[in-house]
Amino acid sequence: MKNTPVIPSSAWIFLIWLILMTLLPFSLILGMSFLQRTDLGNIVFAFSLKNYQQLLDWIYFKVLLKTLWLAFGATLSCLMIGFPVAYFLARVQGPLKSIGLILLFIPFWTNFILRIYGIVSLFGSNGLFNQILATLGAPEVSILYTRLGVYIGLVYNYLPFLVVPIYSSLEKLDPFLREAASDLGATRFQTFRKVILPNIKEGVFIGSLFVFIPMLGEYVIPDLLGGAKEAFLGKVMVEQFFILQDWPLGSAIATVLSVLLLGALWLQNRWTSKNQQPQSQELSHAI
Amino acid sequence: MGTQRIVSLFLALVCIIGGIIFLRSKVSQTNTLRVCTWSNYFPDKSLEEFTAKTGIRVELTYISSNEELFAKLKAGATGFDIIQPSDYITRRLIALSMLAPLEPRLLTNLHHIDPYFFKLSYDPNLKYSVPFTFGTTGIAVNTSKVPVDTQDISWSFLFDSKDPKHTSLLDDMREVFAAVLFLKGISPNTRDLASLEDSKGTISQAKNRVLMFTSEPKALLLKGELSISHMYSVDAIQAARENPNIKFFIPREGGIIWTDNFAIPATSTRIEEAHQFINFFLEPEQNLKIVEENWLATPNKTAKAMLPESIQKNPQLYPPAEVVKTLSFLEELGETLPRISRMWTELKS
Repeated sequence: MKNTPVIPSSAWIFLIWLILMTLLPFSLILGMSFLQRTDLGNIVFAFSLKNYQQLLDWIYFKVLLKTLWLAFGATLSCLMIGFPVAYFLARVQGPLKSIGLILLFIPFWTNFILRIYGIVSLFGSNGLFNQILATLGAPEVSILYTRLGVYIGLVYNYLPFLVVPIYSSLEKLDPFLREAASDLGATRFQTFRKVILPNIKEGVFIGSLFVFIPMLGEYVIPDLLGGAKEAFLGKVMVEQFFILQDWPLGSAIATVLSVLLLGALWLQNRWTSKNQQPQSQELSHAI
Repeated sequence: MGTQRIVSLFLALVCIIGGIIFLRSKVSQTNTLRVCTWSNYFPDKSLEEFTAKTGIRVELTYISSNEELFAKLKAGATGFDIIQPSDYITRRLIALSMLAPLEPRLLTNLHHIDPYFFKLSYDPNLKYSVPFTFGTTGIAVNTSKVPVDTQDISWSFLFDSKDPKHTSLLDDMREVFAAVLFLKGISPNTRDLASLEDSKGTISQAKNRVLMFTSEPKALLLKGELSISHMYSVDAIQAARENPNIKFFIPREGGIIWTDNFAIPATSTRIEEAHQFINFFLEPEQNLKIVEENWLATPNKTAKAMLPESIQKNPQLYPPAEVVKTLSFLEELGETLPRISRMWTELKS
């Protein structure tokens, strides 16, 4: 097989898009993070590490850890809810499948802010949830404007982004693999662990990233459902840009976050390429 | 490969043609004034009258915060001919030479503005801006939930709220610090770190009790989720129109006063028309229409005199002279602002 790197002409559009909309803004942010600013927010073109030194403050570390923890927990919950949904959608046939898929995509037809306000009226102190509790004689539960509210909002909003990649990797799975495994005497659990899981690992991982990454920068949900009582990274970043006019510091936070994520991706990549060989052997053993 | 190339060429062509059409539509509107404003400031009818009188069409763009406006201008947005920054952003825009100086000869109606507004520190003598409306920051109370039998309340009404589970603070560090500083009898523009640190403690305690921080409490107040809110007077008065039990108070220790202004960005290419626009809405009759429609307080003394007596005497819209004395504008804090921001992050982390 000859390996001449030919870029198909249709890919150029995407490539140009990528350069203009991803690479260029990121470079600007990276560059900005090494600049300084005046009190009024004017950028001073002088190289400095001041912004990164400022980030060594424990307070940012605390906010970062809290944000990572929240996003990690919410991603895990998304997985726990989303995986069975994706599995069900991939296995089921007929009208149930179409209905399930439509239900999965319906939230995308509505504006994100409107859906969040929907949650507000559902869980508010006069909301449906508390009204039901009241008729049952139970005390009022405050979910809104707590960390639980933020958590529910994150899981609710990002769940479909996780279900779709897992669903599509399950769809692509050859149904005969499952049959072959059971013919060769594998139990259902063994089939799942040794045959299905290794084949959809990528989908699960990508789905998790799809929800984890935007959760790290999320600031609308903590504002509207958390009552802005806790500082998460997204809000702190936005405040640097808008309230304090400190674009260099805001850029430094954004850069650190991007580097952390790229680092995690790189590690994962190395890990999968190392494990590729033994796992496919294991797979052929299992089958 | 062949079909791919055709598809990609087609897509590129669509983009180029779309871009040309888009740009042409922008260029062709030569006699259009681009106004960047807050939602609900200009009724359509008033704008139609302006177009009928001057032949200048108006295109509105809305902003939802001063920070958004400032960031837009700072990032190089051009094409706005009129903007409506609040006092503290006006101050910053002037310092950064981002506003065009106003030409007094084109503003023949400027004398209708109350002399009070010519003496403010953010733009003395109104060289760069003309006030459009003003208001205060205080406490709104749903008196059917939390009875209040006096006009004289303190900021402690907010920070030691009797109904903390239905109380909100503004999600704005300057406003919240200012409120606590007023309570402690210190200037809201203090740069004294010890006082600020002390205020941080008070806010931190309040944070654990109150329901939330929000800069848009109006809807929640009307829905009954909130009964005591740290709030801007305009929002509170609009809420009071829908629910008369909602009352707005400027606490006795004092409060923040702010203005929303007309200004012309230095990048505007229609300076003359922009002046016409400002001057048109300085006409008392035109000003009156907007103010009555939207329940705004007007700095236009001639227009104010034409309002019904009851509105002129409404202390929520027009605080009496002795209250005005206790009000302060928020001033630029220089290097102290990042310190406050750090405290704000700290108490929320």
